[in-house]
Amino acid sequence: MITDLARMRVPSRKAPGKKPFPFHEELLELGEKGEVIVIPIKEENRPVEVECLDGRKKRIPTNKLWHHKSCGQCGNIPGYPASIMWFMNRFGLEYLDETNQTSCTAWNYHGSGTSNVLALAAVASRNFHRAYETGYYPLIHCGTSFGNYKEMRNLLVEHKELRDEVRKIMHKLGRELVLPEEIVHYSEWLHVMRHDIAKLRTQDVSQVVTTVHPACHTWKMIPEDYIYDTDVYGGRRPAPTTSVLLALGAQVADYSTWNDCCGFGFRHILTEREFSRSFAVNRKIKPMVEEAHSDVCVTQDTGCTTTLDKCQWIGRAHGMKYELPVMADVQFAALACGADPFKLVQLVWHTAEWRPLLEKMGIDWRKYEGEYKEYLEKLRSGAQPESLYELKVE
Amino acid sequence: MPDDKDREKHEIFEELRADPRYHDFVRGCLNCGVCTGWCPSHRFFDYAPRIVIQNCLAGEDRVYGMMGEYIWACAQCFSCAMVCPFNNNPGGVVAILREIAVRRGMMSAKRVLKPYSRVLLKVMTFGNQVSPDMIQPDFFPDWGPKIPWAQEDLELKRQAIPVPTLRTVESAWKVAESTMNELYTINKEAGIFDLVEVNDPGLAEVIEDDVQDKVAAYLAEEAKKE
Amino acid sequence: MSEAVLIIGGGPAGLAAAASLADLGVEAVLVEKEPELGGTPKKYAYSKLVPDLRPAQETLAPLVQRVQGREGLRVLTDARPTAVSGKAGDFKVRLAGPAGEEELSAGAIIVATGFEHFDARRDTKYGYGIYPDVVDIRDMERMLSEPQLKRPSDGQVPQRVGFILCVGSRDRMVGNTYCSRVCCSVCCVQAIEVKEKNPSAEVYIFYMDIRTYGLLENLYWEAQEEHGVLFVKGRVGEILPRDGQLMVKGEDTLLRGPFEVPFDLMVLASGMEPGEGTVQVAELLNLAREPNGFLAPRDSHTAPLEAAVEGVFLAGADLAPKFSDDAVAEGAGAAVRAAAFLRSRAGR
Repeated sequence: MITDLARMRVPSRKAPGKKPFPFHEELLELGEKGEVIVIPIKEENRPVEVECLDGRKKRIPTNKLWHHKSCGQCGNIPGYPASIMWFMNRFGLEYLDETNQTSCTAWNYHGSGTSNVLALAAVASRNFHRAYETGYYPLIHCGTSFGNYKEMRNLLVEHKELRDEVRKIMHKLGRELVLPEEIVHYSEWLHVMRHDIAKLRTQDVSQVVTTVHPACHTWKMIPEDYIYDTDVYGGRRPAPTTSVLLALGAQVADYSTWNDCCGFGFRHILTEREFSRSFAVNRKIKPMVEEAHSDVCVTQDTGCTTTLDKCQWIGRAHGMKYELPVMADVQFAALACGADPFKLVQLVWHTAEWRPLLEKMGIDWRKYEGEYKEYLEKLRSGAQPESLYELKVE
Repeated sequence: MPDDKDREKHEIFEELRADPRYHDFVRGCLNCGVCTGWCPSHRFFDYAPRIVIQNCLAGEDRVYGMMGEYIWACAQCFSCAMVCPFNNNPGGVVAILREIAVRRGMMSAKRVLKPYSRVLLKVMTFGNQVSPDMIQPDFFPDWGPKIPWAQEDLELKRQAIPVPTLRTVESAWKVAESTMNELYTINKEAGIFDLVEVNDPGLAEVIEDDVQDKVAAYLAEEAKKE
Repeated sequence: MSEAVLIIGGGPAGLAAAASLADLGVEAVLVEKEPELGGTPKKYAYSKLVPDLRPAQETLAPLVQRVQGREGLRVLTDARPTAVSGKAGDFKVRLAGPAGEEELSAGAIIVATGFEHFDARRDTKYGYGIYPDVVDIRDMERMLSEPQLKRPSDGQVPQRVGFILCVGSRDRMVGNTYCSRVCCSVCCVQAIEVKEKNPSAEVYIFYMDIRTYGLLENLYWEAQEEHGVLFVKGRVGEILPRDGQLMVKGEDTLLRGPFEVPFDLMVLASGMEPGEGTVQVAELLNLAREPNGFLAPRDSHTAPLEAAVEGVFLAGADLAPKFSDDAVAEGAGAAVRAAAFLRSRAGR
């Protein structure tokens, strides 16, 4: 019942008729002319075809991926990237995570205006060139980086002057102007992997009521370049995240502010916190709890996960004692597939109480907590930490 | 000095319209209000994306009027751009105007940047905006009692993360010195240090010193290898 | 050489063309793809028509009657053209119908293939097709044809009813940038009908501007003065369900600023698009279409009812969004142009 709307299927999608900028064709043309180096999606990337908002087909590479990490995830929600890599290990997929990466720096742009298109486009091209020279295809973890790179890609394709200026900077770095054939968010990877992920499921999540917060910068920035699917909300809402929850058999509840932002607002989370926390609690957490009776808020981006989680506590000042666990789709999926909630999913960094959720999922958190504490002590006495991969030192 | 103010108004308007994105962002508007209906900031601030577009169409006085707190209210979610029947992008206009405010070192930009120094420092040195050691309980008292716990034994807890690149506390992941050097070059070439300097000379100096120290150490290391 | 005229489409325009040709003594064949004549107003059981609120079926009946049992006029339903060859004066048309395929000759062709309502599922903001109490004006016509207006989800009488104008019209996001011309007036009429059925209902019309053009201006006066329908300037941003009701969010751009108010039933004024039949026939006959997809006349000033293809005539909502009375007038006009064309060829 609860999930009927999310599960609604249509035989084919009715795409809105907006004629978006045909960046893909023009990008490939620029690549042929030698104006830009285009990172192609190759056979070895094992791409899966999906449909975007406007009906365009997008290919999502699933293998041989270069992790474009997110600063906010790595800094505050380390179980987020860890869960992505854990799944790749489970599937035996190749990937590369390295220290030779900068963030997209778009927080500065959206938050304080202390960047500009030239710097942002150059940072994008730098990171893409780095992925290109390693032979791995970039997978963007952060929603803002994804949105920002989509925007920079379109600007670079549209404006020759910008390409020329960025190329000049790239040459100073000993690099070239590089753009990938498709800019791919990890939630898109998760979407195309959802049936394989469901096969790994160890926990029964059928009684867990989830609510999804789709991130503004994944689906509202360059909206035509994100996945919609005939099997999710009748093709009407962005498919990723909801799709993996459906595949895992969780309940997905609708709520009346599903499309509102989280309140993060870049500068607001730091300097207009009354906005961020009021918005997060009143406009998001409250409807999730009171309308949808949700057990967990499932996100797909960095800032939203932090804002929705960290801003709940202060609601007590107004008598709103919400404790709705907040985590990314890939963290929830990892838990459902038997990942260690402490060592791998790293829930210790999450603020709203998540232990009752684990109990509902049939996870014995006490056992894992004990192991985690022992593990910390071992590390304290000089033991080597467990790693998902071996870091290659250049 | 009315002349100076008039000149500033005029220049800001011309800078806005000269931005290559402007004509994609401002097309036309019939005051339908769909954008404002979606706007999160409109619920809390005197701010409406519809008014942003209307002001652009109205001319330099009205654009100038937004250069104070107005442009800093936007949450940059881009809901407005997604739903506008005219395909305007009010959030994009705000981004351009913020850039102008910062470039010109306007009062509103200086005020906004003041509490931002830590973020700026992090991003311009490491290319990460957020680092584990930034989440200090005294800075985030409203995030509740678990934040102090997270800062306790931070280094050890970071060691326990199974992703080797994340075992750091002063940046979100360990960034190679060569990468920091590249970022420094990009910021330098794209004029980002100039932007910071206009608004906060002291901070600009700190950042540049810090980056230069790191870069110098890196270059010395490289030289040793050769 | 054939003296007959083929009329494609049995809606108001096609019916008027067929009746006019019969009146003129010109042989004609009327082909309609649906099982019944009457076009879109019949297919979707329209309730009352603009401007005088006459029941649609009352106006369709005489139009249909005028083509029945007429000498020299064949009427085929459940049939459609599948191939056309030859040229003006001697078109060879292959028809597929319930009795199988047949080929006929026609000296001229009148295309009156009409429109289709915009599929509101393409505008993701309003959740049409996923929230049962979000309907479009086409659904609403059928619902208003019933003695009592009930909302689809639970059969209750809706107390708060809202109309959103310009859904699928004047909107680059959905791809249709033109005005569909009829929806403002239709919504005023539907709002009045809601109030007639349930005077205690609160009825709102959310508008960007009201285009009850020409002599139709009185419609919104009547809606306000005699029925208390409320008008709010502002296009609704989104509709979301909450506690069994619809939360309607938007900005009142004149007075109140942002609003978020509950409604029992929301009606989307989904605009007009060239129908599937129009697209098919345009391909069959190689007809030019204007940028929005409607059929383009040879010259909109001097030959508004003629296609650039010689011997092909156009009438009705396949040319542009319009009311059925305009379509009827154009059907008669196209019949005269076709008859004159055949006569001039015969005389040659």
